[in-house]
Amino acid sequence: MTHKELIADLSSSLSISENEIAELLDTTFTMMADEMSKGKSVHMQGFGTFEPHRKEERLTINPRTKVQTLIPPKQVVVFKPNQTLKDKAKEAPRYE
Amino acid sequence: MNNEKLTLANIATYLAQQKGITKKTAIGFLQQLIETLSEELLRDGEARVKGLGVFKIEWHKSRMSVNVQTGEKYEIAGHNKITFTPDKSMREAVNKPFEHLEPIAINKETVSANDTWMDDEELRLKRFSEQAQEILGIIADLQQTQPEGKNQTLQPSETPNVSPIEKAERVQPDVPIVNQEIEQASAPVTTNIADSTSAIVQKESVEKESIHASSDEKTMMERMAKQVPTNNKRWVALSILFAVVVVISIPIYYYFFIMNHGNDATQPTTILASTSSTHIKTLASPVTQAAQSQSTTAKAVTPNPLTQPRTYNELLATETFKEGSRLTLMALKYYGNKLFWVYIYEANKDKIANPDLISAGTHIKIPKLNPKLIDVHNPQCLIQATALQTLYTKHHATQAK
Repeated sequence: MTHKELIADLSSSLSISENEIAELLDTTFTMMADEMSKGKSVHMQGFGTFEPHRKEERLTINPRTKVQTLIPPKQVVVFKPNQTLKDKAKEAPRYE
Repeated sequence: MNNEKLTLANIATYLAQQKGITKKTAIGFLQQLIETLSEELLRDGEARVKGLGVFKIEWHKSRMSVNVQTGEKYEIAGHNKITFTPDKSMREAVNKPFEHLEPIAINKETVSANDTWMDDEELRLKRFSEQAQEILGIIADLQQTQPEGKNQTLQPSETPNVSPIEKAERVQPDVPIVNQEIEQASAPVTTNIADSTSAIVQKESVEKESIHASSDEKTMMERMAKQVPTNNKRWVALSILFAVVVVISIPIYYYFFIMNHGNDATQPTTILASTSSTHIKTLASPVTQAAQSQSTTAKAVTPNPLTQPRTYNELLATETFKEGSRLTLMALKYYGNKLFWVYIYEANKDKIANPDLISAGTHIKIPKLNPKLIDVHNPQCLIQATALQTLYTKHHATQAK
């Protein structure tokens, strides 16, 4: 399903214009990203939780050139599906 | 990082404010979004959302795992798992607080694992030499402040003079004992080493304190007349220097002794064990060796069960090694602690080349041990078993290389 199809789908089932749906989606995602960058997690009931995880800085060594590099800390998004969604996925046919 | 959670309601309120719609519509929109997403995900196994990311269902193959507690193997069945990869825009927005940071290359020569170990040892030796420097400095102070010694006839002069001499006397009788201990070390005693070194360290600290105390008193007296450099002070200084040298040299001596003879020290016990046990066929050649080592160990060893050479005459049971069985588990079963696997290993040394790699079907003899040797509540026993364990594992690690 492409982005356009998703918008069309939502628009028809909610009877809101496609333009508005696109705007709503955009604001929702920017708001989520904004809050997660502040360290807050977003809990979506019936789906799962988006959590920001902080990765500490670390030293890496290039095995070929032996150059040590300090990788700065960063914050990444982790999605944890809720239990019902996990169970449903387990029951779903094999995806390989 | 705070653990505050945003719920759907929070997002809906925000949307309602921003877009001028009712909260109800906003909630309806979000719920519809979630429903569509999960439906799509479960139907196609993949859901791509621009601005958020990609959800996927991935198949995880079945694999074998081991129960850490019991060592039993079991299978983790294959299953589907949901993964999420955030979009680039999402990833960058969340990483905003750390956006300005970039990887920094540091040019520095890398140190191999072996070197770090040596560094550690060198550090320890360095610390010893630093302490020696300190003590020498104190001695120098002593020599400067000594002169009041004979001049003051009454009580105050007596106390500072007496204490270093006493100390020297106290140190001297210790030296022969220490030497004896070195001789004893030829017997397979590993715990003694630890004991004696710690004792030495204690001695050293005690000495230092006493020196500090006496030197303080002396600085008080320093302004008194400086006359008549006596031979006495030089003698005291020399004796202290001698004691310091002895104290420093002993750990170094032990260090090299362990390095060179660590493996040899354990050999006599195992030869003894193999020759004296009735169940193992004796070899012709080691008999003389065993006799020699027996004579040497007989002198040095005290009746302590920990230091006695271990013999494995009596058997508790024999076990056949199966897939998944461990020496440690056997030790836990028969002796009550996993650490005592080293004794099972010693009893079966002729069959086990490497304790980490025992082929299935090997018959393992479980020897009957002196209950004092495997007393779970005696920390000495545990320390000894741990020492043996590190010795064997290190031995096999070097062999593997």
